[in-house]
Amino acid sequence: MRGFLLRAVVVLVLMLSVAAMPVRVFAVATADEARVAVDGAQAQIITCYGAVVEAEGAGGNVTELAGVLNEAGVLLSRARVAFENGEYDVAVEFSSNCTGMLVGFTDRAVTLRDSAAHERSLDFVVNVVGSAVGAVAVVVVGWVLWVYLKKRYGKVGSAV
Amino acid sequence: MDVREYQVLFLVVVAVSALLVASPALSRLLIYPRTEFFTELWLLGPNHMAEDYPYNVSRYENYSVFLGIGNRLGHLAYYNIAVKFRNQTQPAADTFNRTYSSLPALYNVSVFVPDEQVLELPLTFSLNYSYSDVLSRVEFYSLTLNGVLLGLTDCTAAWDSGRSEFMGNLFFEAWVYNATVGDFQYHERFVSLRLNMTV
Repeated sequence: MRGFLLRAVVVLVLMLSVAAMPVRVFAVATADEARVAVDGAQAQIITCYGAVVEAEGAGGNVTELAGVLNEAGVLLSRARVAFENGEYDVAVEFSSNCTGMLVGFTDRAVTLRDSAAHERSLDFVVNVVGSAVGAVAVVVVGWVLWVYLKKRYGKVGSAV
Repeated sequence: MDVREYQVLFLVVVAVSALLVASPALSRLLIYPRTEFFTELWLLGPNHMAEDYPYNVSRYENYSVFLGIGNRLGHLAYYNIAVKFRNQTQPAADTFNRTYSSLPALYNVSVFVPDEQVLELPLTFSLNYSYSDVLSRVEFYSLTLNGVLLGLTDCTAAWDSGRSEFMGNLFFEAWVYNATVGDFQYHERFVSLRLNMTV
């Protein structure tokens, strides 16, 4: 009786363990599906690349975004190899991992572009316009000071 | 005292002060424009030095090198590094004619490098091949690059008596994405490793 109970418990635990395991659906992808997945991942990467180039053009630091693209690029490379080897399921999986990694990526790039553009305009106002105006102000103040000094001490000097 | 005696000194002080205040604006205006846009591509040995490159290789043995890419193109570049392998008779990339090898790429490494930055890729590779006594040649089966198995079909290496080697040439071509064309274009750069298959 005790042995039966023990076995029943073991079987129950095993059943629960199997039930708790993540279910993975093994779908067989065709060559066309795999090609579409790989091409889609490539297109997604190119779109994201364009967004990062814009962010960089606006003066943003794109090192972090480039790192994400590099990680996605590794997955795309693996997807291509799997496709060439006829492992279409693997190609689809790598491609979807690649595109999954890039979800929300363009939004990040656009945010970076906008903030970089804002910083750049602020930087222009402060550094370029500000310093140019400051230099003119220094010259004007210098001239006014010179005129004042000439009036005040020039007369004293001529009197002596 | 005549203040006009100090005129020159006053002018110099005002001019230097004005230049100092204007220096942030001048630094933007007086930048020498970049005229050369290019990419650096290099290969380093296992110790991160331009030495101890693998040459005599054994079957299934792992070898490490570092592939470096320096971007001086003026913008973030999307490179495709085409990994190719050839024997002594197959077409190689040509430095002088600036042409790529017509061999298909075994593997394409997608790399993104921001402007004025450098990226180094650690590469570990091994080769599977066998030596045929009868034909006196090496037959290649596969190349494993960073854990990815790549088939080498119809590739053999005959004995090169002049160099005393069974030559295999692992090389990396740089292709760059051209957004205008919407495709990758050969960037006229490659690096290669000449290998001798020990039997």
